[in-house]
Amino acid sequence: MAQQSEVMGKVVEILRPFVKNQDALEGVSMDTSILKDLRVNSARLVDIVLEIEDAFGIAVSDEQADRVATVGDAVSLILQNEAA
Amino acid sequence: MTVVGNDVVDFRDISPAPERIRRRFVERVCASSERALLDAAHDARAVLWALFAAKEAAFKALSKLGPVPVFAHRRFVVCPDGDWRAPAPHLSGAVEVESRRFTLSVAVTGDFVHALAWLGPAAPDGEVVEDAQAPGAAARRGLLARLGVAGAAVLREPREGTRDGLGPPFVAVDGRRLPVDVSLSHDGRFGAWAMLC
Repeated sequence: MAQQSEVMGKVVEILRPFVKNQDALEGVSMDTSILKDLRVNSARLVDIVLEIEDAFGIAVSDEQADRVATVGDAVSLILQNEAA
Repeated sequence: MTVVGNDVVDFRDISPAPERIRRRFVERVCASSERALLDAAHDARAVLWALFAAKEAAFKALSKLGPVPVFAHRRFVVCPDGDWRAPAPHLSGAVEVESRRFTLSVAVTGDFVHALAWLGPAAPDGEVVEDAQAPGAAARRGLLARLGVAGAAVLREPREGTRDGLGPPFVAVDGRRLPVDVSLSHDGRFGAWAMLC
């Protein structure tokens, strides 16, 4: 199973093309808000969830996707799905 | 109960997702009837984002009626009035979710779509404003200008279960809520507001 830091690195690379505020990506942390800090809109967030599914070979339910607000939320859902 | 939600999508700010993701986006966001509509639409881009904005607007309205629901776009089903396949500057219909049916109006231009979804006998007021630097602030200013109430401010309170930890916007004067339901949205260059008295 992937380590948290490894997953976070991959998540940041997935986020990169969808993020308007590229400067915020430089100081990204688990607490960074994807919508507010990175200025990702809701349509792009759907795309990010789909990219996460492809990259990690997991299926993200609607309920799980709805709870993704921060980078840490995305990392947690990946680790949970990989462990399941 | 009268509630309104609104959502604007800037065509210049559409996600740069590759085609494989765009196809899956449609499957994740759209109900089967909506996918059939997209397949037959003259301008599939405009119809897709009209559907998306409609669902976002209805979600904002629904969230005011009880606990914050899980936002699964596919469960918000757009029911068009008339023929949405042909290009049109204005689309109408309803959004059905759970046991609710929200009236829907969508403005379509070459630059954006703007959806209004509401419960209530009268259509809401609403407007799209362009301000690439601060579209959210422009939307709030536009709303307050239309209200024309001295000392009015747009506020939000903390709320559990939302992505940003805040509830829907409301208008208050000296801490007292005004009897008007409002909604704000912004995307790319555009801000948008709606209100229902």
